[in-house]
Amino acid sequence: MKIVIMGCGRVGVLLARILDSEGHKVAVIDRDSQAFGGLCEEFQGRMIAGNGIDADVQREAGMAEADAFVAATRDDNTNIMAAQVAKEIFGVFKVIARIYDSEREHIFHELGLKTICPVTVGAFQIRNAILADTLRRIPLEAANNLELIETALPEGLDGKKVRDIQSPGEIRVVALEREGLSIIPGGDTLLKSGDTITIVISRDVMPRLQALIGIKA
Amino acid sequence: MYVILVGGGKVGYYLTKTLLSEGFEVTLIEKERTIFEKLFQEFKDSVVLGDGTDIRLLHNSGAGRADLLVSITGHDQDNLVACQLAKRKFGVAHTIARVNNPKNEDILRRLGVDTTLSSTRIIFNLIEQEVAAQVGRLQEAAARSRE
Repeated sequence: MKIVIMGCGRVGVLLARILDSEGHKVAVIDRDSQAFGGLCEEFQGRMIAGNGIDADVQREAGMAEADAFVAATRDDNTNIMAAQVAKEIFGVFKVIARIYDSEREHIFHELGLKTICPVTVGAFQIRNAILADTLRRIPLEAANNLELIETALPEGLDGKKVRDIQSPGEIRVVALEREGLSIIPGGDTLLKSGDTITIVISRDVMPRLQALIGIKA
Repeated sequence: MYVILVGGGKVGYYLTKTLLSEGFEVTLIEKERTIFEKLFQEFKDSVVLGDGTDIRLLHNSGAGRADLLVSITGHDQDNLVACQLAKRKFGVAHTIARVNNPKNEDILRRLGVDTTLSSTRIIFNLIEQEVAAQVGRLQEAAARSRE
């Protein structure tokens, strides 16, 4: 694939090296040519010094033929604008913008940009590392207000039906692991102690889920 | 009529002054504390310290009932994002962005900004008119001297 990366910070550099070593045609853009120093000597890709929101700089980086564009500077708004230029002006198929501010990320995601918020991802990973013995919360990338919850079946739900803990449009049990087997349960499936259940919920009903199934977060 | 201005540089300053004197309700958002403090001395509660592309700040500044948002910072990407948030998140009817790099004028319009203003472009157009007028005067003078 032909991939253009804007922003040669830690993530941009590592991403460029990974993709380059996999044989992709990589071009990197950074305002500061010194930032290219982070790329190792083996880097085969092209390096363009310039402002990545400038359509001429994007064109020089080969955006007209690019399959993917990644906006990973430290400035959210620069990433948002550059991503939209790539998408709307050059018609790049896969465009990803890194956005630190989770609220801003949420909105631009809703407006159709493919976004990654390292703050949200990092915070949930750390939360899960600390609280792995209760339940795991995994924000869904494709649907910003939805989360996957993975938990051991709480005591008291043994013998209940999946239907009993579901709520239409808000809470749904999507997977169940029992004695090493993974199954997709139906409403009538009986829950057994020792099960690990995976639930998809709308984030705002998290308190209700906790009350409903007696999980302490 | 309620107007939100993003960016308290020279343009933002004089625009706030003019709009207030004409009786508009204005909120000017400025990011830099030192600049904000100077503006605050003159405009008091019409100035807010913060990032005009921050959703919570826009919300607290009453973006939901604003009739117009004008973003005039020195960064085209910030002006674009302020206008897009105003329009799509808060339903502001009209957005105006200052464009610093004239090449971005068309791009910002394609990305949803209602009106773009490029001072470079405006001054360039004036210079062009002036040059054309000068050339015209010279040609007339030359024609007269031949007669």
